[in-house]
Amino acid sequence: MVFSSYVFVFVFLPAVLVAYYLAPRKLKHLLLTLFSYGFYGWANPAFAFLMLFSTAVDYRCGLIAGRRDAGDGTRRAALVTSIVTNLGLLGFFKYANFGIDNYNALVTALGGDHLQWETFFRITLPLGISFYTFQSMSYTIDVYRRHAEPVRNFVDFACYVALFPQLVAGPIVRFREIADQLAERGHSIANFARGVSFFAFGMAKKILIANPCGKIADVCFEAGSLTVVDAWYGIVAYSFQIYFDFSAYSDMAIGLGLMLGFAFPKNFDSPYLSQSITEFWRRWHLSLSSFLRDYLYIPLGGNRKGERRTYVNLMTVMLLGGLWHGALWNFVIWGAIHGVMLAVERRFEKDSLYRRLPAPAKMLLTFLIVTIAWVFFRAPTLGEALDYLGAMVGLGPQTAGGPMIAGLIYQPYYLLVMAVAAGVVWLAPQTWDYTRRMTWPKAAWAAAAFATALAVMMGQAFNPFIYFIF
Amino acid sequence: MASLSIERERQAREEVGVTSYSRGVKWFLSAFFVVTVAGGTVWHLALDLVDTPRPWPRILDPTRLLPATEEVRAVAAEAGWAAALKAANDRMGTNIADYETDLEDGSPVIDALMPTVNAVVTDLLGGSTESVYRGRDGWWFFRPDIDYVTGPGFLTPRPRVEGAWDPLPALDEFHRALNERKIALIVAPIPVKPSIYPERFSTRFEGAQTAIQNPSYAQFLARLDDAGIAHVDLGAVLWEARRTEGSVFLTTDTHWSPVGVALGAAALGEAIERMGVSWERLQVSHARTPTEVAGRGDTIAMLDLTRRAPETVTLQRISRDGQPWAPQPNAEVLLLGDSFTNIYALPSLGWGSGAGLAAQLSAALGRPVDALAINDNGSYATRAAVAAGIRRGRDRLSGKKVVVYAFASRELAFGDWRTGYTYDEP
Repeated sequence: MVFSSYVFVFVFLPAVLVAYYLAPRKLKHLLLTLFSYGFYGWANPAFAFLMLFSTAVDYRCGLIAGRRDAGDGTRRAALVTSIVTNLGLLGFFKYANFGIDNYNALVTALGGDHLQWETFFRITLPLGISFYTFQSMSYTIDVYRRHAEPVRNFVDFACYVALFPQLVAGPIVRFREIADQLAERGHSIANFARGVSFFAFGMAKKILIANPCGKIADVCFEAGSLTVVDAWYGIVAYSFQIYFDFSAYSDMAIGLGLMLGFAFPKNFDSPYLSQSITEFWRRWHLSLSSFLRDYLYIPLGGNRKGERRTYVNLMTVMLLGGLWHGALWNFVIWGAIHGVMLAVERRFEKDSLYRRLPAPAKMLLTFLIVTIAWVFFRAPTLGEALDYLGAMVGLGPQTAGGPMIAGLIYQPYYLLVMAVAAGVVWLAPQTWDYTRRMTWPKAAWAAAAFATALAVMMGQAFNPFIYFIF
Repeated sequence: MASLSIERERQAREEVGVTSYSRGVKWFLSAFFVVTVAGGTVWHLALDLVDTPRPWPRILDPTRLLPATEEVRAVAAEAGWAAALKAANDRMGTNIADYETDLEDGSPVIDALMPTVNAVVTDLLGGSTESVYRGRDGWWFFRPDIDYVTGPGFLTPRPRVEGAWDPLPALDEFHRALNERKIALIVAPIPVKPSIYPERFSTRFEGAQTAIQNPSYAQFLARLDDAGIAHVDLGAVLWEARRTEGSVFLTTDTHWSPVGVALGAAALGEAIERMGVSWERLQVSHARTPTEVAGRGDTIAMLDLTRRAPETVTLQRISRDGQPWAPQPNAEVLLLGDSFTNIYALPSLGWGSGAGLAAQLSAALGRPVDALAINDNGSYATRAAVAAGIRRGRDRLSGKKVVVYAFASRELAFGDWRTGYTYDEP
């Protein structure tokens, strides 16, 4: 189910809120869990059982790993079971097709067509599996490390894993970040109102900015040919789309969390204001970057094992981070570009690449690098990514009809949306800051944004969030 | 490391702690939100109950999401419980999708808001919607038509698209089958509006010298030639005529104008005559009666902009011996078509009747014409209908000398070019 859909806004959400606030305290988590499973199963009911399986395994492993009287071997076995189960599920559902396709391509290239492995089915990717397996796995790791106490109540743990606001696209909420709130949290009209503000602005970002920018990007990426200007315009539109789409989801998730009494951490910190790639990763998808730092980069040795090892670790983290987004070489290349940039910036003492430039130029240069890397993120195949990059430097194919896309992408409506997007990216305050103190004009603005977004939503086609597929 | 995570948690908790809303603002925001989301539901529920009184509103009926027990049991009996579980899951997925569609189709909120929203987006902000693109000077375009022209070549293999993407095998199969029955085939892709009026969509095409086609179009025609399949390039005909004959497409509709239809029919008629068919029936004369018709184009209908002034066109209604023209099942020419054939023939399309492509072709040839036209899926619907008719003992091809297969050229890129039909004489 998508937040920006009729069924969510007008059926699911009112039902959840009414049931949640009417339910006695003891039943609130059970209710939230049931609703969350309904929310998740909406796309494919069978996958709700997959999540239940993963949850049950981690719950049990957490209990064992957290036992004070258990030996190291037992605790470690519980940890390994949890990691193997979660990564196994992730590997099977997310990377099996990728592995088979690459194997077939390899044997074909080597002249062994007869060795191709023909599968009679293609594995369907369960929505949000990358998010909930990481989240669930982080619990066992934290418990094993004694950074968190194990949960004694299965419903509480299932509620944590399945909590619908952040289930399918994050923020990845680590158990220790939310453990206290599962045990005890307050509900207030002020928090509810702030949640409404977050949700309203998130909805507006998604419907009024991300989707129209996505339309421009779609048209450009699907065009048979592009002028240089159109190609750049299209990829900048995608840069805006992915930021507004994902940060909108995070805002809506945080807003829904607040309505239900939870405080989820920030996931974006104005990333396009970054003046280096290093800074970008301190501002973009914070819950993933901090997860990768804490559970991968630091255990690999971080920057404590010498310069060369630090670069290897950075590249490893970014390559795996890229692959986490999807089973495509494009994502690996995207991760590699960021990994190389992080290593280069570190090699030349962090920001030295940009040191002599004025701040706006640093920001622009960073945005340029990030935007070029998005080409690999957006293009469906490596070939199409290279074609698109070719078009950005005037080397793309030319067709008679291609230039016609100008009639759409430069319509006043889309130019206005792009201008608003740029304004919000570089000039507007973050939702966190804007909603901290709400005055009457701000409240009226939030209400108007929400009402307008809802009205426009009804005319838009099904537009799932980009990160749903990861 | 632990401190980093605690830092993020602390920030989040502290952030909530510093929320500062006045009493009025927090109540206003909360009430506004609750009334908005619940209001839409209550409105829908009330309407649902009033329309079809029942104890439990349809939109809150969870049982409709569940698969039918008998269906699951039947699959279990036949293929085992694993297959039954999969079938149940698939059925539930379908029910969920149907529920969402019903919910949105029956929504009074959507009905009430859509015309205004579309008017604001298109008229006030100069934008487009999902399926309808705003052109210049009051012209409107259907999205797939633009996609066909701007997109990659349709002969480029597209393994991700469902169905058969290559039109050539289907056309070749049809051609061979007709050839065996000594029936000639003429393939006539009808150009889409942006092919003929590209400058009405983008200023970049002012001064264009030729119809703008998909990059694969020329190769497609060459492959038809290689396969010995006759074809008519209506794009070239309409492009030439647009300068001398007036508008060959409607401004608010996806389809061609009555002028365009007449020109298309004339070109098809000439192509048929050039084939040197040995007709068994004598020519007949038809009368043309000019009739003004006002209609709102399909693009305007898609936008729900019902208050717009209608577009007026003059049809040339065809009649014979004082009787309105009608397809003749025993005619020697069969026209297979889609909505480009049905416009001005089917009153439900909103542009009158008696002046469609079949009637105009009949008048151009001076011969009766049989017609089978299905609005959608021009890539296979009529071929499938002909094959199904033969299977049921109604051979639409019996006594035919020529079959004209006309379809919107966008079908070349987006149609499902299924093969496997048989057209043998019963």
